[in-house]
Parts: sequence; structure tokens; C-alpha cells
Amino acid sequence: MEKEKIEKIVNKHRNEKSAILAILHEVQAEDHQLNAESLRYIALLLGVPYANVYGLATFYSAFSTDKKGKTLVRACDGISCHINGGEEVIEALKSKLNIEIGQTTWDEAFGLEKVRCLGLCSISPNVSLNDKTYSNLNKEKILEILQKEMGDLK
Amino acid sequence: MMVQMTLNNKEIEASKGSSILETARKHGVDIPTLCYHEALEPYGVCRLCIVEVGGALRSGIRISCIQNVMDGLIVNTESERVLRNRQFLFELLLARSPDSKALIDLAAKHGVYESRFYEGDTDDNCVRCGLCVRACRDKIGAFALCFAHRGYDRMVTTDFESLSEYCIGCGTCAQICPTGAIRMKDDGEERIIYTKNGVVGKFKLETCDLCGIPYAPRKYLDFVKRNSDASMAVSVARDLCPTCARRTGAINIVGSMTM
Repeated sequence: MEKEKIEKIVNKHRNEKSAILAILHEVQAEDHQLNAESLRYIALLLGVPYANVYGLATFYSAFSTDKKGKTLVRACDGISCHINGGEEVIEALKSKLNIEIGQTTWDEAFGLEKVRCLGLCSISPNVSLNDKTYSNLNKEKILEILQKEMGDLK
Repeated sequence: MMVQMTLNNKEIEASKGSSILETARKHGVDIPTLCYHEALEPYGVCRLCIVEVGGALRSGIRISCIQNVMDGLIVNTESERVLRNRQFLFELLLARSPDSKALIDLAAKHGVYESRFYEGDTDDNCVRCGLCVRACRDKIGAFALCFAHRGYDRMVTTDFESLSEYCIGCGTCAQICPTGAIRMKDDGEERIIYTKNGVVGKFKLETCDLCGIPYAPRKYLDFVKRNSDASMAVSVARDLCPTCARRTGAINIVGSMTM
């Protein structure tokens, strides 16, 4: 991410070390990754050792040090989602996007991940696309949602 | 201030504020440890120092390096439950660090000679005790090492698993590592600090002003200079290897001496 953009985010949080997680979230949300340059610059601005920031960024699965898709598709594979047909939903996503779990599409539009759990067990299966969550899914419904998302991007 | 407690059925007096581990060792009772070091804050992760408590504390297993003593505490370091747990822990540790002589010796001392969890490879020999990270971060203040990732993938590394700009090449990590997972090698004019996962630091060794042998990286010497006060001024003014430094110091003290 460009230095000016990072500076803007860090300044917004008044350059406070304690705001590091919030800062990492914001940079990741815009840049779809927390790469080495960005993390090192954030560390520099906050006066924190590079290693500390690296440890933080790799600890949480919400953060990614390599490029994730513009739209991050997180399919819940928790117990409830799994039992209620979550596997079918995941297979549909894999085949429609033509990628494996953990990969990103060639145009970097979509990334696919399996997560546990989205906390909406009573209305499973669940899938979230970035911040939006969709529930009570099945193969047809998720493909419809994905189609709409792809159409919206065009 | 002192507290009254029981250690292995013997009534003893212990200093308030000290841990069960420190107290036990002071009274000649040995408890095995891996992640404990007198110079560092206790971390409580290896779990080898576990003991069984009762009395002032609800009975159960406690981590003795991070549990402080108290009045009326009952501690047993060799109960059946402790021995059983310790055996299991050694087997788990040996599965991850099967090549570590220090660990093998410690385990043998406690009657463990092999691990049912050993899968045939040597992994990286790191037991994730954190001694290197804690020493580098809290005592040296170089901040070159950190823990990354989580769970089974948790590992000791530098930022982005690349050569560290922060490493000063002191080798404290290599020296404090109980399993030899992180090592330092001086080869002629080069020093390299490395793990199985990558190189932490690579340095050219500066040569001694007097005898000319390569002995320490410039970054390390600068670090010492930066962190020393006026009383060290004479010592850091020249680049002297430990042997020459000692000789020079001795000469200064004794007067004249043939070199």
C-alpha cells in the first residue's frame, strides 16, 4: 500500500501503538493483504520492531500476508454448517470460482477460505463475502449470490 | 517476609514473592525445566516444572515457575500424578526435538528414553520454549526474533522469515537455546546465526586491533558501545578480542607484564 495511505490510517489513530490491530484491519481491508512493505512501514511509523508486527499479523487468521481476493469468500465449516449441507456449498464455490481453498482467482477478484465459525449456527449453512453474511444456503442459493456479486463487479 | 509451607512432606519457610520452583530449588529439590532461565521472566510454557499442590490452593497441578508460594501451601514434586504427566510431556517434547542432546539427557534423567509420538523426522528441533525470543527482546533489546503463526505452525523466526536488520549477531539466542534449534557458527571472517527455517543474521567479523583475529560483528560492537556508560569508555575505545581485552586489563591492573 502506498506510504501516504498508510500514514493517513496511522495518523487517524493518532500514531498510538495500542491501535495496531485496528490499523492492520484497515490496511488489510483496503489493500487485501498485509505485505512486507506495508507491515514494515506501519512498524516504522509506530516505533515498533518489525518482528513484533510480523508476529501479530501472522497470528490472526483474519490477516493475510499475501494477496487475497477483492471479495473474500469465507465459507463456514463449523459443526452446524457442516451437518446442514455446508460441504455442498463449499464444493459449489470451489467449482464456480475454479480455485481450491486458500487460493485466489487469477484476476484477484475472489479469494476462498474455509472458516470456523461465523456464529450463525441456527441459520446454517453460512458464507460471508467480505463483511456481508448470507445464511440458510444451499448449492443453488450460493451460486445465485456469487453470480450477482460477479455481475456487480462488472 | 516469610511464609510457612510444606514441600514434599517437609515443613519449610519460603520467601513471599518467590515461585514454587525457586523455593524448591533453594531447598535442594530439583524440578526439571526447559523454558525457565534465571535471567528472564518465567514463561510457563514448557510445563515440565509442574507440581501437585494442595492446602492453601485448591488441589491440582500447577506450573511451579509461575506460581508464587503462600502460607499453608502444600507442594508435592514427585507425586504419582506429577510423574505421569512429566513422562508424557517429555515424550511430546522428544517427538519434536529428537536430536537435542540436552533434552535427551534431561528426559533420561527422569526415566524417559523414547517417545511414542516420534514420527521419524527431526522437524526443526525447536520446542517453542521462547528463550531465544525472550532473551533477544527483553534482555538484549535487539528485537530480532519473534513467534509467528499459531498452533502447530507456531515457529520462531525473524520478520518475514528473512535476514534480520535488527540482529546484532551476539549469539545469545544460540547460547540460550536448550535444544540447538538455533545455532551460531563462526567460520573465518563470517558469523552466521541460523535455524532450520532460515538465516537470522549474517555478519562479517571485525578483527582485533591487537592480535588480528576476527572476533565480533560491527553491529554488536556498536551495540555494546551504545549501551555502555562512561565507566566502559576505555574498554570500548578499541576493538579488542576477549583474550586481548583480558590481557590489557590485567596489564593495567598489575603494571608491567611480558606479553
